[in-house]
Amino acid sequence: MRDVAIIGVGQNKHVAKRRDVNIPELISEAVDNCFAMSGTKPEQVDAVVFGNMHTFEGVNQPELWAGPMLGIVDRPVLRIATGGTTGATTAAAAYYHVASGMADTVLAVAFEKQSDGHAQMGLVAIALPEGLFMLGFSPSTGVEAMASGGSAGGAAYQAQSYMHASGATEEHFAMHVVKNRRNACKNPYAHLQFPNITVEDVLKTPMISYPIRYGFTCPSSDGACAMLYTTAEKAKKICDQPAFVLGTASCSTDPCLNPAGPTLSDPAEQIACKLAAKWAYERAGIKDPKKEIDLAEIYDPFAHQEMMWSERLSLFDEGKGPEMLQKGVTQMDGDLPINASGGVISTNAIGATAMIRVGEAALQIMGRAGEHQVPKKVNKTVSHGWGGLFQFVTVTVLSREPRKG
Amino acid sequence: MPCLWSVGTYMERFYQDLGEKKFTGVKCPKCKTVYVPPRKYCSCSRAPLNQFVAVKSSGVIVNYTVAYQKVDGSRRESPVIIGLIRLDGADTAVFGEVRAAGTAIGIGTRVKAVFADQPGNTVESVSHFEPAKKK
Repeated sequence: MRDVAIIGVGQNKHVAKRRDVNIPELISEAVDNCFAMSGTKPEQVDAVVFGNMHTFEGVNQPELWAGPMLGIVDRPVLRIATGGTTGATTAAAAYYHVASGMADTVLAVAFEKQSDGHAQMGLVAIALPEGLFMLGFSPSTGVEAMASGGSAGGAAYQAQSYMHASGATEEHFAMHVVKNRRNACKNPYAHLQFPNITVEDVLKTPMISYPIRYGFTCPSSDGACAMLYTTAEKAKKICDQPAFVLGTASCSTDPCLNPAGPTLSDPAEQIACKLAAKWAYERAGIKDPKKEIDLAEIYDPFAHQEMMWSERLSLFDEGKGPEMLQKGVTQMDGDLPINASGGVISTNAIGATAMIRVGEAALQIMGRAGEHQVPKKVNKTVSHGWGGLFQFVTVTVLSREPRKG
Repeated sequence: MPCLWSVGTYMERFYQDLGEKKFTGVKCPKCKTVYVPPRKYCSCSRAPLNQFVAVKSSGVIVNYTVAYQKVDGSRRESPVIIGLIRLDGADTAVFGEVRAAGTAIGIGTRVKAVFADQPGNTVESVSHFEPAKKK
């Protein structure tokens, strides 16, 4: 297997509605930024990996026609759609292309233009065909069980369970939102940027599905992310400090909130996250993530999740998430900055979101994060994505140095 | 464009039994896990499952939410409690509306299913769950 590096990351400013551009025009902004940052050209790309969730826009196969509109013609194209993890899986597919030797330089593009369609209906239909029909026990109540207020209904059970197990409170949820939406003010691509937001402001927002308030949920964004992957040898010639991929893994377990049938495990237990993290750390040669990981980008569309995932990723002991947040450990200038970008609670163009977690971690290693560059030296990072029926997780470990051996 | 999804043989049996006010699951011959609704393979032992068992229509709330909003984002006139309920005899949990009428409920509260007046072979055979006495 070859060593693989990230040499470029491009995004565009995420907003609620980009009615002024069509899908390829939206994507091309991120792709152009990616080429500009890396000093490369479209003709240097050997293959393209393309990710989004078609049900969210109602456009089934944009990958079949959007490529040439990005300036990339006559190249292999692979389409990825794995729900919330789409962006990370797209990034992983680009990594596999280069690591396997099938291609040298690969462009990974992920996007969502949610204002074109209805993401909530796409989310409800994730578990079809059996899911919608069997969702709970009644179409009138069952659909609500998972989907009341979009996916907040399902997350409510997870938040409830996490509160029960960790002692986290609504105040902790609000503190997380304040931290990340203030971080987002330093990220020019982030959607919700609230410099003066307070815990009280967040706690005043209406309840959607207890214990999830409106203020505890992510926005619905239009936006894209593009990344360039290449061999370690080429990367060293193209850029001073690439971000090397040390390991990536994904895991799908028995659904923790299964509208289609039996639910065996607790939605906050997250066996999929623990297994994916274990595999990714093993591949990366990481023995003690608590000591070796310098920064994390975590998929946090709901306010309880950054704390919960940070524990499941073995960055903190179980139940310590709220305490670490309260102590400022996860702040931009803390010992373990999490979501210096503002995270998913500030920006969520679903298909792009899990790729942005990888891209933002790469930018921190490369020293190219701009105003939200953390003050410490970043050697190793972990990026996390989440989706499916609460049971599909991706984990990616990046490093300043290539793999040893 | 309407779709017509097949539910599969196991779920068909589950719905037919619901029409007779009975909950049906399957029991794993290896690890003894009881799945309600039934499925063909065990997630724990990977064994094929074909031993159908009846479970009680009473159980315990293992998780719940209170929904203040509908799927379309509009506010409900009054919030609805939706529980994840582990039926007695099952190892898995199912979703259901809980109507408590002033009774305090939470994780651990015992409930029982209230069936529709005229149950059929549909999901709507179970109207809701209500608080029940201790086992």
